[in-house]
Amino acid sequence: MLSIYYGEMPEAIYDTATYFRNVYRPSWITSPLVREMIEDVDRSRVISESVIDSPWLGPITPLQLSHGVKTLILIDRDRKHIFNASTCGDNCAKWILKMAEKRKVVINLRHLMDFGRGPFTIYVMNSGKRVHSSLELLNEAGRLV
Amino acid sequence: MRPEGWCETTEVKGIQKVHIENARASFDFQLHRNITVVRGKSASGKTTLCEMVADHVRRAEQSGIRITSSHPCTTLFSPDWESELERIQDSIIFIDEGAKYICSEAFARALQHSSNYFVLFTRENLYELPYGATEIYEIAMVGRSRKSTTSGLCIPLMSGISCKVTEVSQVRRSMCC
Repeated sequence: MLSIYYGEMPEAIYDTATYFRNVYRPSWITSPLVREMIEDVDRSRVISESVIDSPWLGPITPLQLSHGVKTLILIDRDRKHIFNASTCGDNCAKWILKMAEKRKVVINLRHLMDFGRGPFTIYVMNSGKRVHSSLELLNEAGRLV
Repeated sequence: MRPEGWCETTEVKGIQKVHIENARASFDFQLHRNITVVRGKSASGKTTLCEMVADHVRRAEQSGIRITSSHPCTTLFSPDWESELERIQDSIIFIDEGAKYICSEAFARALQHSSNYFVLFTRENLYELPYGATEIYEIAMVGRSRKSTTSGLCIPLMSGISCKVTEVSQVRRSMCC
């Protein structure tokens, strides 16, 4: 299930790109889920652990991936920390929900991310309520950010 | 809560046209007010734009980046952003995601008497800053990807503002929260 804390959360890692630069491991890049996320969000193809083929920029390294994908990778691979997912665009939302289908995922949001119409189950940590649609989420989270 | 004495609207300082390019990407946009917020989907080119500006600040013409603008383009590097900002005048300052201080009252206060333009890349609502609906944009990719054209050029474009590119039909205006 996906749990979200809205607003200021001191323990969450805010600058996910810097954190990614210093902790990512090459082996993360070639995992099946990470490959899929890079292909969908960044429209880029993983060639190897250190080379990604971007349709816009040509061959790039993992450090040149978008902030959104870097944050998704961190959420997937680093389960000890909570990350600021406001570095993710709405095109990352479905991947956050997908990761949360199989395990508990906790993220920090500082804006209203569009998770689609639903149905989904999101636990809003600030209020302790579970919501199942975008309207319910908007009603619950709209006043928090 | 906004700092005391802060005006309710962003200042209109004259339209600034900016062109930034390297061998693979080019950005054309106009700034209408002193604070512009850019948000939107991941992988739309926000960080690429910021990194190009940063490279140009470090290496100028030797960076391989070409910038055409009536004001110098720069970014804030130091954690001590307040001191750095005091030294910059009449420039266009780009600040990428990850700079938490842009949400602070201190940053809003520093902007109050600044002669600079600010381009802020963030999805957060900046309650301390007086930006309006018309100053929130997203970058739209126009042109062709490297794989489908012989030119090898992609052209991201800040939406909602005029440009020389003909494919403006793809431009989208982001929603203002």
